[in-house]
Parts: sequence; structure tokens; C-alpha cells
Amino acid sequence: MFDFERFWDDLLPSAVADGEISACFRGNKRIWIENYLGICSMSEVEVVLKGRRKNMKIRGRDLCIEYFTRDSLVICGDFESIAWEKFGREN
Amino acid sequence: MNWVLVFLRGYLTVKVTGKSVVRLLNLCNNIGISIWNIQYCKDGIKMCIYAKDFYDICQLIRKTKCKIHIAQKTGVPFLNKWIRRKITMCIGGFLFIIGLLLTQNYIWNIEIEGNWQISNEQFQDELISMGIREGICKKNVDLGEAEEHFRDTFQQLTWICVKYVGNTLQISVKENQLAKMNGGENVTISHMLENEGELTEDLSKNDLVALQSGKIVKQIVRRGTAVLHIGDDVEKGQVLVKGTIDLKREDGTVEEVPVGKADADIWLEYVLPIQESYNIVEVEKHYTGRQKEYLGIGWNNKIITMFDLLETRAATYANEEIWEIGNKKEGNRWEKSRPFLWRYKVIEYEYLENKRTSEQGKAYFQQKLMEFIETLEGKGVQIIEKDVKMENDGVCYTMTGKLRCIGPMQDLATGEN
Repeated sequence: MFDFERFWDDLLPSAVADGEISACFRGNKRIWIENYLGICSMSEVEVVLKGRRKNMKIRGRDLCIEYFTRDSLVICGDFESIAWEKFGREN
Repeated sequence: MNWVLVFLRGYLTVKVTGKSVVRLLNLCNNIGISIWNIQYCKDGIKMCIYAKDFYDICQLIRKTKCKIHIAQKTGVPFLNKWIRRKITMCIGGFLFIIGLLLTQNYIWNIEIEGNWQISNEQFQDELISMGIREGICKKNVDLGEAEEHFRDTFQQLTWICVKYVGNTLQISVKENQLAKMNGGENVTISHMLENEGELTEDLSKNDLVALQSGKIVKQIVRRGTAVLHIGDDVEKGQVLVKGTIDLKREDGTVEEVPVGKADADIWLEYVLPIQESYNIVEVEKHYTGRQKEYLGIGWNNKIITMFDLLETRAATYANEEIWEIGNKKEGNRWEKSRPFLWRYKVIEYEYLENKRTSEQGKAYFQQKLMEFIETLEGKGVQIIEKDVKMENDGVCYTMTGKLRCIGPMQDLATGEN
């Protein structure tokens, strides 16, 4: 039987196909995020980014958005934790 | 490089307050307004935006009911006011940079090093004849041509390099040491041989020819056949040793067989004429002790006086010389081409004429003769007879005479054996 799921996986990278948030870290000081939909909330200790299925919650100290475009975003600071929550409810 | 572009475009650091700050950020993102350095502060956020995006963001501010406050303006578009306030300094800085860029294309100093016989003044004269002096554009100077000119003009030079070191034209030379001993300025005794400067050997025939006239006193032939023998008189250019040997055949005929270049050591007895002159009247520069002291800006051997330090402005001197003050070599004449603030003094001097006595003339000639004899002895020449006399013609003392020498045959003009 033809495996459609595998076919799509082979055709397009999963990160692009499913539209999930993609993140790249440099230690706990800098994070480069792609495929986000927007910013939900922002404070000095917490930044919440909206994803397709889940929100990404970054906790830390002295958080700062270094730059901010439609496709990508870079957050600097001293990160303590990163968590995923499903539209307001933490998993 | 990115920050340079950002600075050129100009940007604002703004503080946004209100309840919907995050919404504002998302709206900005949607319409493509670039935002960076977003920092959270007490009642809002601080962020940077391009100056041209400010009016677009104001519309969004109204929509989200936030308040915006400009904290800082940075970049070239905002320098206008600062430039207008300090216009003199800006013009001065601009002119300084332009001047710096222009002046680096010119020669501001000429340095000559390695010269011993040829004086700096001789080099300066040649440079002026070529049109090279301080203050001319570098592109008008052909260094290769200058080197060629110096080589042609000064035969004593064995090596010369003309190059730029920053804004200085540096001329480095090496001189022929042997020529220095025989024909240098300090040893002016002339010894002239007939037909000086001809070829010493006839290479086509491999014969050894006489480099000077004289009488053969000793000869050792290593290769070839001697034509003349001990006691024979020889003229310059005459063949001494042939580059062949004579082979006698069975039938009695003689055949000359070439053996290559003739080689022999030959000692000659010869007469060396000498001539030297010494002025009776000596003009001596005498410093009177009167001096003026100034502070001024000097450039290219010209100086503009700014302050009269000893307040002796009224004094005028017939002959004066500028000396530099404060240098390690104090007492040196001021010869600077770089523009700078100089402290200098003007010294008065006069020329005094001294009449030299015949004893002084004798002592001078004695010294010169000894120096010349030492030079000859260094080349293995023995002096067997001296016939020197001094004459006074009213203007100068003249020493003329002859030295009878025995030594290895050599061209004394070049020192070649």
C-alpha cells in the first residue's frame, strides 16, 4: 500500500511541510527561531511565541529580542527553560 | 558592515507604552517594519526602528491605543544639526583630510646616504637639473631615469637606488673605494698616465699588454711567451707576453701554438708625475657671537617667524645663518622640509681672510704627499726617488714633481693589475 505520509516527508522537509517552530541555540544565551506565527506575550523574564499547534515559552533573565522579521526572530538573554504549551495550557 | 548601513540610514530608539504592545509588534511584523533590540522595561518596551518607518508606526500606535516616545535619534540624517553647530570644526576636519590626501602625492624631503666623494650639493645640483626638488608631485619623477642619470654623471658610483620612503625621496649610493683613494676630493694629487682609459689586454690575441710605461725590473711568466725582458723599456699598450708558445717542427720551421690568455707578474720602474695646489688666501667663516632667537613655522627651507624670543627685532645682520635649537645635534644648520613649529636662532657671521705662510703650505703638501705614498705602498709600490718642489705664483702654492717607483704593473687609474 502506498505510504502517503512517507511520500510527503521525502518530498518536503518536515520542518517546512508541517510549519512547526524551528529553533537553533547557541548555548543558553541566544536562540534563533523560524516558522513562528507571532508573539503572544513578552516580558523581561518570559517570551511566549505562537506556533502552529503549540506555543513556545522561553523563560530566563534579561530577555531581549535582538531582531524581529516575518520569518525569523532572535532572542538573547540568560535562558533557564523552554517549554511548550497548547494554547494557554502547559503540557 | 551592517551597522554602518544602519547608521547611514538613521534610526530611532523609541519607548512604547500601553496594554497592546505585543499586538503592535505583531502588526509591525505583518506590514514589514524592521524592529530590533526589543527590550522590556517597566511599563512597556524599548525598541529600535528606522527613522523612515516612524510615520508608519504612528498609524499602528493609534490603532493599538499605545503611546510612543522617542528616546534617542542616531545616524547620519540626525547629524545635520550637530554639523551646523560645529561647522568650523567640520570644515577644518574636511580640509585637513583633503590636504592630507593631496600632500601624500608630493615629495617633501630628499635624503642622500652612502656618499663620500660626491657631496650632497653635487647631488642636489643634478636633481635640480632633472627638475626634482622638494614640493614636486611624485608622478612627475621617473625614478629609473634618475638612477640612469646619476650613473652616467658620477662614474664613481658602483650602485645606486632611488626610492620613496613615505614622502621622502631616498637616494642610496655606494662608491668605488679605489677611486676614492686615487681621485677623491680629499686626496687630490693627480697621477696621469698617457692614453689613460684604454683597454688593458687585447683579448682577441690573448696577449698581455703593458698598462703603463716604464722599465721592466722583474717578470714571472706563467702562461705564454715573454716578448720583452728585464731591463727593457716598455710603452703603454705594448705587448709584453704573447698568448702563444713557439713549437719547432722537424723541418726547422717554428709554429705559434695558442695557449689561451697570457698570464704573468711584471714589475716596472716608472715615473709618476704629481701636482697639487693650495690657495694662499684662506677665507674663513667667523661667528661674531651676535644672535637672535625665534619661534616660527618652517617648511621647505623657508621659515615664517611667529615670536621673537630675545626681542632683538631691530638687529639686522649682513650675513646670517639659521641654527636649530633643542635638537640633539644642536648647532646644526636648519634644513627642514617638513612643516613644523621650530625654535631656531639666527647667528651672525663674517668672512675673514687669512694669509697662509709658506710653512703652512709645506706642511699641507707634506701631509698630502705622505697620504699619497701610503696609498701607493698599500698597492705594493716602492718609492725609490722623490723629486718634489713647491712654487708660489702669488695666488696659490703649487707642488709639482715626480716620484720614481717600482711596483707591479697596474693601471693606477682603476687599480687593475
